[in-house]
Amino acid sequence: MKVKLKEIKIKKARNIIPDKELVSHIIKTKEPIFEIEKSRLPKKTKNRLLELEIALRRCERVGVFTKK
Amino acid sequence: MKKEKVVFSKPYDAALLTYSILKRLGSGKVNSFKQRLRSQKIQYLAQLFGISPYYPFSLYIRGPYSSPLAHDLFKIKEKKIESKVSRFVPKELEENFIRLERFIRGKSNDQLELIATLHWFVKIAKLSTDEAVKRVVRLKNPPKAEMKKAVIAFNSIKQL
Repeated sequence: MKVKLKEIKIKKARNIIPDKELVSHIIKTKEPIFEIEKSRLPKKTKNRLLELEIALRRCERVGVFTKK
Repeated sequence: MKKEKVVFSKPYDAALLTYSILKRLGSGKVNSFKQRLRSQKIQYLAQLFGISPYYPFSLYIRGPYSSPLAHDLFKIKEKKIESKVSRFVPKELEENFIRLERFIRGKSNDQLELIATLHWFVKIAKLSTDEAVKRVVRLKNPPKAEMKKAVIAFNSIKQL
């Protein structure tokens, strides 16, 4: 699938990048930055094992049981 | 007194797991630019290895970067949240973790940046490997030996 890239105006970098140092660097160097157009992003598939790990850790955190 | 709710870009336990994995890999800190860059690149690779929750990444000057991940790591630091570092319960995830650990061992931030950027160009922007290499060289102008190492490393994870 073709992915479409959208160029972000340097002035707007501050709104989307929380890292101030990185933003200053981008503004200073005037390097182009891109974002993928979300509508064309492939859907991510669910990772069942990862979901299981998250659920187990949640149970442990709230005290349902201790892992192992 | 009412406890303040921490708002992450992911569910609380998913954000915590992300941080825990980064911590286990000796990363996850956001105090310096180098630490933030390393955390970003390791998370990008951790997602490729299928062991960490999904964060959306975009391509910026220093390679793939996820604003939501940066947000969550800053929140974790700000709220002084601690996360237990432990092994994965599913064997497959633990094995993948070990593969990732071996993959990043001894790699500098620059190497991780080159590998992640190459991967992004090939897998997300759908460029051929040759085109991606050319583009990375043009953007970052790395020493030849470094680029060669990055291409070898990238080829070893290309199938992910």
